[in-house]
Amino acid sequence: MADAEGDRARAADLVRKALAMRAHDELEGAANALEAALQEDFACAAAWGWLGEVRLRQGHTTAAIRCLAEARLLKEDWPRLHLWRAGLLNALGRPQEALLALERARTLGLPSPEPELPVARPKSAVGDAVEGDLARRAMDRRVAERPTAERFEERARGLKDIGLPMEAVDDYSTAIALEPTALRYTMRGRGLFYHRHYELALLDFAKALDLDPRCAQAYCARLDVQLCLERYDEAAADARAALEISPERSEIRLNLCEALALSGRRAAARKEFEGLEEKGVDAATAQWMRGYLACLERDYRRAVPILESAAEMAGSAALRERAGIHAVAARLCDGGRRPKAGAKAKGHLFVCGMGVRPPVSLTAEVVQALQSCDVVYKNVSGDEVSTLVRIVSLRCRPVMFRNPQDVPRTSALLLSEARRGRRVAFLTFGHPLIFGPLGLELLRSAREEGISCTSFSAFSSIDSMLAGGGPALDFCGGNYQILSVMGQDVLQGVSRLNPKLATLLYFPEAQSGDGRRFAGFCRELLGRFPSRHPMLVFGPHHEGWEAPARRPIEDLPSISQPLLIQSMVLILPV
Amino acid sequence: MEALQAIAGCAVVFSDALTPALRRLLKPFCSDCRPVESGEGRSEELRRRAARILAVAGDGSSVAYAAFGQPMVFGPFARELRRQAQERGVPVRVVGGLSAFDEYLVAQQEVFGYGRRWYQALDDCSPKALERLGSLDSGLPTVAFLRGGGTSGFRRALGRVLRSSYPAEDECRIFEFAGEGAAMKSRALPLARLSRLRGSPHSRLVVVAPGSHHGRR
Repeated sequence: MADAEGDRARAADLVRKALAMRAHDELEGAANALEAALQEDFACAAAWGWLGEVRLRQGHTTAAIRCLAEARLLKEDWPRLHLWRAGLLNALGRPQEALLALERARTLGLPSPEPELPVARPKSAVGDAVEGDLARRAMDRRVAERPTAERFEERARGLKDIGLPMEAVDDYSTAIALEPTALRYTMRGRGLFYHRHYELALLDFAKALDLDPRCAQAYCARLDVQLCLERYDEAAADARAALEISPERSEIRLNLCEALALSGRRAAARKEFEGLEEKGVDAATAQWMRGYLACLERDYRRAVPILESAAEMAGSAALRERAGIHAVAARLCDGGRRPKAGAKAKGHLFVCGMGVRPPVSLTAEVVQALQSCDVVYKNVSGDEVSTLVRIVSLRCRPVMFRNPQDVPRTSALLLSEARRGRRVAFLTFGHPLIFGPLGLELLRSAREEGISCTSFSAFSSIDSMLAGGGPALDFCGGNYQILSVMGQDVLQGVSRLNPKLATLLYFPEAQSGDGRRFAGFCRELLGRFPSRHPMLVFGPHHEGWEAPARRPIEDLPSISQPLLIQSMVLILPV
Repeated sequence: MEALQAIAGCAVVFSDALTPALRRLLKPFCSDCRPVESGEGRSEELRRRAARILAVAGDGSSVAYAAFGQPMVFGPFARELRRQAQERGVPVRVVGGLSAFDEYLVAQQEVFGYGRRWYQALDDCSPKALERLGSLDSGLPTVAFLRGGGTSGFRRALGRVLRSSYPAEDECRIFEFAGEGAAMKSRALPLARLSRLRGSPHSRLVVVAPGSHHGRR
């Protein structure tokens, strides 16, 4: 407790220091001090709020959105915060939403004289990729047309899908302010959970259940948090309540079983799985659930044949694949070794990727590393991933890492576990070190601190494409220039491109990229090659996945933006 | 995991990289593991080897070929196997693996930091290929991959092309993957000493040479 108070006091000092710097227009220094304050106390609303304001003044609108959303969660009734939000929304060209924020600020009572709206730098200096995103613009337009709770909720769902979870949480907050419903509280709670605001998430679920005591989604969401916090009795109670409302949902029964098994009540867990068929669960699913329970009990040898028979019995491809993959994981775990109990604790950090098609793209060495860990921090969501990871490791916690500004905080969390002598893994989507600033930072910091660390290669999007389109590379004699399109250095350097070398283009950030930038890049590129020069486009959404057809280079600009992220283009040498 | 799941359903698994560790990994999934050569050979030889594998599939059993790296990248043998299977009406499923590209990307990011997006990649460091290439763009980084550490001829040829393209005082960075289970090691080496670099048959070397404008920053 004393430690927490000390952290809060240090954070408050840093905020005061930051405000003094801000008063002298030392914006970068102020931002650094505020970030340091958040390292001390992650729940410091003042630090988040002022950091949002400073980032807005610096023109970093994306960072500002996230900071102000965090502050809003922690201190919604802070009038100045809504004023900053109004400034931000104005800068983003969303005047209707800015008005709503300003109204809220006035309702809460602004000081007199009313402070001015903060002004962001001109957009040209901002260069935010978000602004160029067409899908995002369409969502904003719909909210601008009619800023109702339904429209904010709709945009929140869209923002979550395009990888902007904190903005989604902010939209749920607005929707709740306009018209609270159980489902909106539940969805916001889920977002908070993934940002590790566990207590705030629990509050949201409680509010959801106050509004609708028969909201099964709220019980299910709350039991995920309880499992993560290792409060197994509470998790079991939530699972039972959810099952009463929706007895047909077998995944809830599975969660109940997980909670019981993890709390050591194996007999009760097994009892839950007796006579599943009479409860309406089909035979293959029931068999898979029994195999899964054996995995949770760490009896892998017994689990393997049960899971394999479930795969054979399965009527649906999805269950067949799930049971089959679980059987593979159980076999690998059966052969894997855990450090001996009582052995001297020595911290170790594993940096692992699940590949681009989780969970099937997980590698054997990652499974065995996870099995040896005390705790796994998982930056991949989804039921399929969660069930597989639980087979391998009992202590699994979500960690949401989306933006480069999350790097220091997430890295500090993982390293602190390793410093305490625990074997900790960071598990993420794709390859942890390819376009993975957090993975690289973890390796660097661990080396500096002398913490032993292992990183594993993973099945990347490039591998996925090469699996099918690989023969194309044989045309080029093996040497290429590789360009990750959308990078500023690539866009500026096209004139230096050597057409005599095969050119391989890939587009890892196309989703958040700017369509105009891409069009400009294509124009420059076409000028470097003869007319109708051949290129090969491969990826899962293109024809001829296994043997890509030659197309003229002039077709490149016509590939639609959402497909680009899963595409690779090979321009043959001149 | 996808590959292991497929192998679990097979009567026999053939592999061109059947080390003791791989055998230990595969054994619980398929008890019949057999080695097969996949290296460059005359097309007749490739045909004969592919036919031997497909003969096992002749009785209706499933058979797997577990290749080093990506089966279809620089994989004339895998392609021959697929061609013959298609001729005989045997269904084929390709499961991808981890490729050298991942190592290129990781190595170049370690040297240049997150966000470096343009470089030259040399997957074929044979003297013939490098001679055909001539020189490299000195303004861009180069990442070269040497399987099994490359032969001394390959390393000499790579040293030559790098020295002719970059300032002599530049250093390159060597990443060595020294075989199963071993951690990756990295070290700096002056370009002038590259030809003296040694590699073992079980290692993979990734050589990263900085472009001049990245120099010693």
